[in-house]
Amino acid sequence: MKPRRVLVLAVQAPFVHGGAERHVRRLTEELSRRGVEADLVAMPLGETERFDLIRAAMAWRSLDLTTAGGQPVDAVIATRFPSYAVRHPNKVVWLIHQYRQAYDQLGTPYSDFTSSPEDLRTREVIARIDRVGLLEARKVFANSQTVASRLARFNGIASEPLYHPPPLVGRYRTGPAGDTVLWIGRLEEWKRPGLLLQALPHAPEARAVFVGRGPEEGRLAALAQELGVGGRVRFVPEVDDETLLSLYASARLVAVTAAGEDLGYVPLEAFLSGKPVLTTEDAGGPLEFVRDGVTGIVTAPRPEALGVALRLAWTRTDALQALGEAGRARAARLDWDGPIAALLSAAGLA
Amino acid sequence: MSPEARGLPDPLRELARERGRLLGELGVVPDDVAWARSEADALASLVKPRIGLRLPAPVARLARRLARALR
Repeated sequence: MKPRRVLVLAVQAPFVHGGAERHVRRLTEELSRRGVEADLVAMPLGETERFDLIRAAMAWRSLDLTTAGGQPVDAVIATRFPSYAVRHPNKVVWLIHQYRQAYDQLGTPYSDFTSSPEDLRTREVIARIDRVGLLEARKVFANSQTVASRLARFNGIASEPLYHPPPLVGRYRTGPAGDTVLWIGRLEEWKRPGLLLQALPHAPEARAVFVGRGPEEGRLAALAQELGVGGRVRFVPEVDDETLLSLYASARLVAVTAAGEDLGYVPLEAFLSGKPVLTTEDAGGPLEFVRDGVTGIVTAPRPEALGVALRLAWTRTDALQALGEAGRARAARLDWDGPIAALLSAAGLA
Repeated sequence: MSPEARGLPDPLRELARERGRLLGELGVVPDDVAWARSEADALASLVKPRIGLRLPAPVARLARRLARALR
């Protein structure tokens, strides 16, 4: 049988290695493991002026990926704005997220779009790019119900949620409840690491470990001192996989404070490490897995509310372990067979 | 051949037509003058690097040509 040739299309921010980047690499590997000749095509998306967004869509639109090395490419799997602007007769989309500043983040501190004529036009064109690029696809999947709902709400485009396990699946391990609340992600405003930091004065026993880099690094370090919690906080800019697994295994619980997250690997990684998740009512994607009192704790997005939850976590160890175990059972059902079969089937390559 | 296009190498004219068509597909219209100029500027830089801040006359012509292609 002739090998099926599939290209995964990624939007790579140079020097950024986050969940989206790991996701597309793993997707390519999982396709290869199943006998598909798969490779990754990535282009950057930078924005120093609005037209850069359209220029990036044009770059994808201009590519001819119907053949590579003289051989046909049977399908492409696009993942993020604007990779799905590409033209290919057999395009499938597995949407990580759209250009959120033009949609759900509009009007929040996390979007710099204004009501200027250029910004309004840019948003119109982004919406057009989304319609053109996504409606050409044979099928649109989303990586969570949250992402699928946004697409339906803002663009009227139907999609099917397709869940997958986090990057180190098979390697996560459990351990006894430790003495830290773990926070992992890029230290940027919309991820709200400061919310956890501000909760610490309300939970005197809690210690926190923040793993990640980002523009908020300096401000958070200063805030920790200002709040008088510097001695209970550790910032770890980078970790290798083994250290990450150890941090999860030795945590007491894991906090996810982002507002409107797409899905986020952190809750799933926490669950597979047997740890419950503390998150907020406006978390978005994480709430598809984190159920208050079942697999974690869901509070209002206020420092005092998180502080109450942390105090509870430091006194009710048994209950906490039960939540973590329930989470582990939930996340253990995710595998790569399902998503790969769905993607190949949509592309007519099953 | 339009007067604006004279003097431009053929591949560039072809590219301008293709880019204009694609921009139109993505929703850019002739009234988006600054964007059409930016695109034309980038295309023209393939032939001659842009010097200074003033839009060179050939680029301005190419911008008009792009705008027509978008119609």
